[in-house]
Amino acid sequence: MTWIDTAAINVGQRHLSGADRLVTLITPAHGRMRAVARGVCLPRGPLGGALEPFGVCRVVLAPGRGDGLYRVEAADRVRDLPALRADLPSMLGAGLVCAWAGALGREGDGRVLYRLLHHTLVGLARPADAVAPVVARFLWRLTLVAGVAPELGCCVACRTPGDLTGFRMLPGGMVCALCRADGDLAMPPRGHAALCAAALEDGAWRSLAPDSARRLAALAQGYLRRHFGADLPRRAP
Amino acid sequence: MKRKGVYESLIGELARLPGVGRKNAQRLAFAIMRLDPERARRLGQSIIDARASVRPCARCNNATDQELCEICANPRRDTTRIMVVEDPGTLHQIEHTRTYRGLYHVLTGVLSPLEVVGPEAVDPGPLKARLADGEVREVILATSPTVEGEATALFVTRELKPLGVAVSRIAYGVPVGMDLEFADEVSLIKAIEGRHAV
Repeated sequence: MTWIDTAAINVGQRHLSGADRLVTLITPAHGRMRAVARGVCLPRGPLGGALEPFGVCRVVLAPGRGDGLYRVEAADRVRDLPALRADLPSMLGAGLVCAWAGALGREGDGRVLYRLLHHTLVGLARPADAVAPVVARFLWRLTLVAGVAPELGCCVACRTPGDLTGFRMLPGGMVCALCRADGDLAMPPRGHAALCAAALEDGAWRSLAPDSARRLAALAQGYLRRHFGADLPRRAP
Repeated sequence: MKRKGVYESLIGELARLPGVGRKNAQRLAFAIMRLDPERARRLGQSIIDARASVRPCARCNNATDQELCEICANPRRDTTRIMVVEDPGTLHQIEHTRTYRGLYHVLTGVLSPLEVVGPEAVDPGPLKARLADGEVREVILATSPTVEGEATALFVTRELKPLGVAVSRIAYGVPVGMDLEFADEVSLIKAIEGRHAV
């Protein structure tokens, strides 16, 4: 492992002994990274508020002792999003988004996830955008980044495009009336259109009603948990 | 070999305390081993007694061995102000400054957005109940300037505003004694936002 100088978004932090924290970072070139930030809680610590979540920072990471674990040598704030810390729903939405990014991020090329996360946090900080649609959009885009995007254009069982009335969690996608089984969720045409808006269409997610977006976000979280395990974040935006 | 086991066990237990790393635990364990037997017994007994008798104050949740803590039971405290803190440790830190003479309320939990812990972690009921008689004129939120502390402050503010009580937040920004040249950007922004007339 060598020293790394990179942009990063802090998506998770845990107190270690004293004033130290273990932070989880999403970076463009290295994906998810874990690093120990020494003295970060001290009022005159070397890292100050630069590593606080909900903003972009530039970090210099040195190889640490543990396997794949780094040490934060320096940190600087590149972009702060103060609006995220001034509104409770935005803050909780940002927390949920970061928790999912941290849970599903992997080591390696993280450009797509980093860009998605960055755009989502900026969207949550924008007063014009409601929280629930932004979070729903993020979670369905995350299914794509994580490689488990559902089939929305045709029946996932028989591949026919018409009469799609249900949603199947595994392998993931819409099912037609003929293929629909007991465990499948009902998905009326309006729900299907909303799901396509959240997952596929650029800009269409902005028109999602908050209630509809909340249901879509809950569905996306259930879907991701089904694909990646039960020990993953859980909350309605 | 048995001796090593006991010593290692002591270090292990000390290292599990918040804010104590392995090296500090070793240092403390060495100091404990060097205590004379009577002092070591008193230390052990104090820990046992504290654990057995200390409970939350019935009014403010501060740690106490009485029904009410020293602060709530003190008739000379200013009963028109309540300062909300995250834990008894913060309360004692503020008390140590000797600048605040009002009452406190220790929260039973904090919101933690990054760990997907929402408002269900904080029960605002007991705090709201304390405001019911109208004597309290101001609630001061003294939660940490972290994501958890700020989320908690936003939630408590949202809960208290409809009650008509004044809610304020402690100022934060650059620490005293720090050269501004070395201040980080976030702290500087907060300091500028929280400026006051002189």
